Formats: sequence, structure tokens, C-alpha cells
Amino acid sequence: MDKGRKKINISYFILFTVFILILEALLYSKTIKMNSLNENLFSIKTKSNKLFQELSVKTQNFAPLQKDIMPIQDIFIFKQKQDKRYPFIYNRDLIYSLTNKKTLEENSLLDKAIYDACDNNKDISPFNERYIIAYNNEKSGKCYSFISSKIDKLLNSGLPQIWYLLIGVILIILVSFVFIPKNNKNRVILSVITILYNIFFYIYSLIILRNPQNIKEIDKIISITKSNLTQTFIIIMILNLLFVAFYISKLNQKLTDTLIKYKTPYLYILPGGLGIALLSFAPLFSGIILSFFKVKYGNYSFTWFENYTDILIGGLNNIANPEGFYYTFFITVIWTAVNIFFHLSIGMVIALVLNKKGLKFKKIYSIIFIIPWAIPNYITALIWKSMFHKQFGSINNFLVYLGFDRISWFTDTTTAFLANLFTNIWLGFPFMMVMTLGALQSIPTHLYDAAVMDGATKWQQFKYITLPMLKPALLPSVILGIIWTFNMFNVIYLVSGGEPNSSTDILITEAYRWAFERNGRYGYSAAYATIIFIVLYLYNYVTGKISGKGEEDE
Amino acid sequence: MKILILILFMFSAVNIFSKSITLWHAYRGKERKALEKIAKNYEQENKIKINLLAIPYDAFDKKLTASIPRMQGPDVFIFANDKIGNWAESGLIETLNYYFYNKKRLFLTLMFDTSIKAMVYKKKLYAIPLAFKVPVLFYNKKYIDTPPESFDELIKISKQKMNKDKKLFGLGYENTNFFFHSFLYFSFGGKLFTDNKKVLINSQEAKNSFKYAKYLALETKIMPEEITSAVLTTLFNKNQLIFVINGPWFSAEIKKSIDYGVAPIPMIDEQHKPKPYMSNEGAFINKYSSKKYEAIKFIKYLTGIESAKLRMKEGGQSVSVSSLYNHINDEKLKAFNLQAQSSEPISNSSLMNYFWAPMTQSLKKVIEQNVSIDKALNSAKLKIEKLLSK
Repeated sequence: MDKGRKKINISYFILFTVFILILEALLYSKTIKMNSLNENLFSIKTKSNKLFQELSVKTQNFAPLQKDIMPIQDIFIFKQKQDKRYPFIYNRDLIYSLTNKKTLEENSLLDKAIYDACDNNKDISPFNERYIIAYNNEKSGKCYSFISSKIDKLLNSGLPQIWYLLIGVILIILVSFVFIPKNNKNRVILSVITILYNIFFYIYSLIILRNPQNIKEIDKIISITKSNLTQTFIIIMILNLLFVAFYISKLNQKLTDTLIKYKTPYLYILPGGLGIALLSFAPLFSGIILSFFKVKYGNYSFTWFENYTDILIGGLNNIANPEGFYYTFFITVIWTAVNIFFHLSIGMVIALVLNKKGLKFKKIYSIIFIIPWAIPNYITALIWKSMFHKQFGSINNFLVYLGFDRISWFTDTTTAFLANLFTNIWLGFPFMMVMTLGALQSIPTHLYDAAVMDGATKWQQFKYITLPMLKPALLPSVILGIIWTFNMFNVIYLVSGGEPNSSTDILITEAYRWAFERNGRYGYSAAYATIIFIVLYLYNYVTGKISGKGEEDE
Repeated sequence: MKILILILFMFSAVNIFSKSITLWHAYRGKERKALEKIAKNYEQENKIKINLLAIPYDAFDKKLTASIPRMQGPDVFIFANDKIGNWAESGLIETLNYYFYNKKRLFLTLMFDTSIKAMVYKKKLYAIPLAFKVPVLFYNKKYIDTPPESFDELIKISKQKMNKDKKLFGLGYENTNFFFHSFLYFSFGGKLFTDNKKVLINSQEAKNSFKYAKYLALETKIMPEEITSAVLTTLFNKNQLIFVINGPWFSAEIKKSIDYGVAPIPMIDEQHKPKPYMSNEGAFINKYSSKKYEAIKFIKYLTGIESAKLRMKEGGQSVSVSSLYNHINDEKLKAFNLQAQSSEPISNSSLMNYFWAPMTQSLKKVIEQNVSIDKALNSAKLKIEKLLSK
């Protein structure tokens, strides 16, 4: 290695170290913010106590009446930063429940008293809530705190934090690829520095959080922060260790080598790669992370694998329960299998006919057969839905014309399933047809000529020439078709809508319903989606193995 | 370096500040135009920008609950009252007692009492009523001139006309949707739940209402089958349906060439007066909004008399200001007002969430799947109780 190159390496190294340190500081910035909040809280505590006394005098009935709810020990009023006009604020909801007023008017009177007090004290305003209130529940022994939105987010949301971390780690890895030359020593030093820095920051934060004024409520708040901090720390440490392991591994060397060697092509695909990362991978990972949370009206709480265990071994899992996982899975598998069978057979038959030499108006036929595929599938689905209407639908009218009774399609599982099936067969066969047609045209005709010379029948020609030659072209489209059908949301949702009693729902529509129709269980729904992903991934893996093996045999 | 500068620039571009209020609503057509006009008037008077954003009705609740805790929601929004319980419990909306109920009491006495009560949850006022929506009877004037007084009369007229015209149907309403079944349910004295979470849906009164719905759907032979809102619109616009029970939004879907009238739903029999669900729309304020002062000023204007006149006249809205109905000549608005006198405000309790789907499901079972009323309602009751106990 020559000297100039070494110099560049060192400057890269320093730059990168600084970059990582800044990144980590950003990751911890939430904690820093929290600390400053706490300090503010103490500084205005005396003021707020005074205000509280004033309030209780004005409202007279301020003594807590419901013992089981909350004897107040202290109310903390938090100074609001952004808006200097109205620095103070209080929590009305809490005061309502404390005073146990009965009617709307009484509540309003109380409200007015509080507002008057606020008016007299020019520092207080009813607008822009940035308050923090803590109180003790003696019965349950728990301490509750009503905290304004921003602080609330800091304390309770695990999701954004993990997000920051992930983005940070992805950035670190990306940067390391580009900047750090393949010198193991530098990498190890860098890793050690980041780890030391993390440990230092963790200890520093703990020292800041250890407050000399030992007040119960604040302690509780701090303990939440502490556990949050520890969580963050542990996650960062794990990621750091992974990072180091990756650094030292041979894989990294290989990757860096290729990256440096093919810098320009990688630069060219960078925009596309970023697009995919943002539009496909980011939602995928956020979905997987979400599946470990319980979501209720915007509040996230981490529950480990509760959503998964609920789905797989929870109470709904009677095989006959249409809302349970296994029933839906069973329906989905049957749905996929039957659909693919018909797609493939119909598509192949039509393709064979269209491929016949000397057929007139070939182009017109193929355009007609592609139409179902060309129309947006939700429009097709809605048209079919109205065609299945019991009284006005054309399908029932046709049945009546043939002398049958009208069928109420969506009141029975079998007929509703059939209705879905017809719609999706209509939607799906053109794809297989196009694929087969393309593959057929690439089969060299001399094979058939030779077969005819040998006296092979049409069936033998099909069996021994056409089918084997079609296989490599059709296999990927079948795999793709299976994935599409497995997740065919539009048809199920728009045609049968899961009727009756969601017994014709497939996994993807069931996941949708959990999120958007059954009290917003987003975490549960995300777990569903993750399970679908895993199932499809496994399927893909297995078929990949099998087909790969098959090709090797040949 | 260039990239860094670019990134910095992008971040700085986001932080442009301007004085404006964001309002979300689910209005379409005339109502939307009236609202836009009001906002424009207000903008000119007060020099503040009102950003109106129309959100599809079905997506409204999801968008709100997802965006408000993340500080991305609107400052003001207009929606029906039935989700107040949920929103209040999860702390998404601001209480408005002080601003309106006390200091400006006079202001609220202009409104219908039921409309204000609909906005109160656990003794606190959460929204200012704008308008109410209640299902009424739409009739095609091609077939009859005066609306029927009772259901017997309605059935009789329908049968007469249907005998002459084989393609014609007498009555249509979404009978497997609990919102529209409500006019029977509450008319027969049915109740959904008590304050201490006792489920009352399998009472004799509830069963009677189901019985009558089944009788209308299957025995009278005047109704089409598997009714959806699309079926109703198509049939009514093709002159193939005489009576429709539907909400005020239905008039926006009727073709201009159809001559129709609006009347209160006729008496079911001598003892039973129909009591459909009334939903009240109100203006809410986001609890996390940073412009509450401006927002409150605006909804005072929005719900006030001047704006109500405009909404009524140009938007065709049945506004919540009662005094405006004294001088009005519009037959349709009068019918809505009359029906509102005999209606059941939708409960804004958070418990309501557990009832819609099972009730609709049991209506489907009874009317379309030939399940007995007892069985359907008992299983719905079990299901709801299971959900409530969680």
C-alpha cells in the first residue's frame, strides 16, 4: 500500500468515526430531551403548587370525593416552551373526575372558576396543552401521570425509537461499505470506539436522571425513562455487536471488495435501490415491528409474541370458527389450488387453440381473451358482484331461463366461494394464456416434424414435446400466480365480502378486517400479514429447492 | 457535500409556517359547496386561511385515530356523533363546555335539545351540532301524490300498483343494515344496552321488530331481495320502486328527471310510531391542535345562525338551529324536521362499536338465511357479551 492511499484511509476513518458518533448522539437525543423536561418540571414546581392552592380555593369542592380513584398528593404543571403567550396549562379532565360534579352545568361552572383563576394569573391559558400531572392511587398503589402529548410520546412509544435505531444501523452499514477500506484493524478500533461511546452515554444519562429531590411521582416518571433508556441501550448494544461480527467476517470483505470494484454500477442502481428500500422494505419491516405491539387508539405497547400466540393458539382457534386462523388458512389454500388449476388448464387450452397454424382472426381472438386481464380487477369484481345478485343478477336470470331456481349466492359458504372462484378464474386465465402462448411460439417446429416422421400421435406430441418444453417457462408464472391468488384481496373483498359470517374470507382479507373493521387491532393485523409473508416465503423456498433439483437432474 | 446540502434544504423546506386552520369533513355535492362558501366568507373577514380537506366517510375514523396522536390531524373536523365515546376515552377531542355551554349559553339555546344532548358524553360537551341526518320516506310522484299514513296503506298501494306493472316494487330499504332497521327496532320499544353493560337485544320488543322486518321482506312481497344502496338507487331511478326509506344523502343520488316527494315514515300500526336512528353532525376540535383559539373562533362562526342559513339554503342541510324551521317552505326539510321529532339519537357510547356488526349479521341471518329470530339474536347476544368481557 502506498503512502497517499494510507493517508486517505485515515481521513476516511476519522470522518466515519465522527459520523457514527453524531448518529449515536441523535439516537439518544430523545433521552436528552427528556432530561431537560424533568429539569423544567422541578424549576416550576413551587409556582404550580401556588396555582393549585389558588384553584382549590376558588372551586371550593376540590377535595377528592371518590376514594378509590385518586387522593391527590401533588399536581405538577409543566411549563410550555413554544408559545410564550400562554406558559401554563392544567388538566381539566383530571379535575372533573376529582370533583365528581354531576351535571354538565356544574362542570361548566367549575370550568369557569378555573378559567377565571387562569385569567387572574396571567401566566396561565386554556389553550395549547403542554402539561404534566402526576398523582397517586393509594388503593392500587400505582402512580399515574397525565402527561401532555409530546412527553407522552417520549415515554410510551417504542416504535419510533426502534425506527431511529434501524435507520441509524442501515446508514452505518451503508457508509462503512463506501468509506472504510478493507482494513480489519480500523474496523475493530471503530467498533470499540462506538461501544465505549455508548457505554459512556448510558452512564452519563443515568447520572443526569438521578435527581436529588426524591419525590415519588417524579421518581416514577424517571423510572419509566430509565427503563426506556436501558431498552434503547440494550438494542444499540446488540446491534453494535452484530455490526462488529459482520465487520470482522469474511462476508464483509467480499462485499466491500465488490463494492469498491464496481463502484459505478452500484452508483447507477442506487436511486432504484433507495426506491425499493423506501417503498417495499420499509413498510415490510415496519409491519414486522408493528406485529410485536398492541395498538389501541394510537398508543403502542410492546407485547412480544402475544399477537402471534393469539392468532396461532388463541381462543378463536376452533377449526370450525370462520374468524379463526386455521379455518381461514384452509380456505385460502383451497382457494389458491382450485384457482391455479383452472387458470392453468383454461389458459393452456386457449393458448394451444390460438397457436394453431392457419387460424383466422388470431389477433382479434387474442385481444378478446386478454380483455379480462386488461380491465382493472376491482371493476371486474364489482360487475361480477352485481351479476350474482339474487333478483336482478344476470346469472340467476340465465338459470331461470334454463329452468332452475334462483340461487341466493352469498348466503351459503359453498355458493359464495363459487362466486368468488368464477370471478377470479375469469380474471386469472389470460395471464396463463399469454405465458403459454409465448412459450409455445419458442418451441422449434422441427421437433414436431421429427415426431410426425416417427409416427407420434397428437397426444404423444403434446405429452413428450409440448409439456416438457413449456415447463421451464410456466413454472415461474405458476409460482407468481399462486402468490397473487393467495393474496387476491380485491375479489374476495368486493365479490363475497367474506359473506356469510366471514366464512369465505382468505388470510389477507381477514388481516384487513382485524385492522380496519374490528376495533383497529393494527398489531394483530400486522402479525397476520407477517404470518402470510412467512408462509409465502416458505412456499417459495420449497418450490425453489424442488424445481432447482429437478433442473439439476435433467 | 452536495448531498448534505440537499438534505438540509429538504428539511428546511418542511418547516414553512403559515397561519391557517385545517378542517376535515366528509361532505359531497351541495353541502360541500356551502361549506366552501362559508369558509371563504370567514377567510375574508378574519384573514386566516381555512384549509378544507374532504375525507371519504368510511375512512374518516381510521384517519383521525391514526393521525391525531401523531400531531398530524386537523384542527377542526366535522363528523357524526356516534364515535364521540371512543374519541373522548382515548383523548382525541377537546371538551367545549366552557367556550359554549356556559359563557355563550344563549348561543346553544338556538339549537335542538336532542342535537346538543347527542354531543354530550359523560357530562361533557364535545362538539357543537351542525346538522342532523335522519332516514325518511322518499316516494315517487309518478305513482302517488300524497304519502301514505300507515304501513298497511303503504302495502295496499304497493300491491295495487305492482299488479299493473310486473317490474315494479313497492318498498325498498336496506333491511339487513341495522341503521335502517332502527325505525322498527325503537318503534317496538327495543333497547340495545343498559348503562352497566347489560345487553338487551333478545328482548321481546326486539324480537317483534325483527318479526315485522321479516314480514315486510318475505310475506308482503312488495320488496326486492338482497337490497343494497346501489339496488335502491338503480330501481328508484328507473321508476321501478315507489317507496324508499333512506337518509337525506339519498336525494343526491336521484336523477333529475324523477319527480319525488319526502315525508316522515308512516305509522307502523296504531300503537307504533317509527323511530329511526338520528345521527347528528358536529364540529369537533382536535385535542392536540396548536391553534385551538383560532379553531374555536371558527366553529362559533360555522355553527352560528348566518352560516346555518347558508347551509340550509344552499347546502340543503337539515341544520340543528331550531328557529330556522319556523319560516321554511321547503317540503323536504320540513319532512326531515318532522321525522326528527320522532327519532332515536344514535348513542355515542363507546359500547356501540360492539353492536353494529352482530346486529347486522343477525338481520342477515333472519331475513336471508332463514335462521329463527330467537337463535340469531341469542347468538348475537353471546357474541357481544364475549367481546364486552374482554
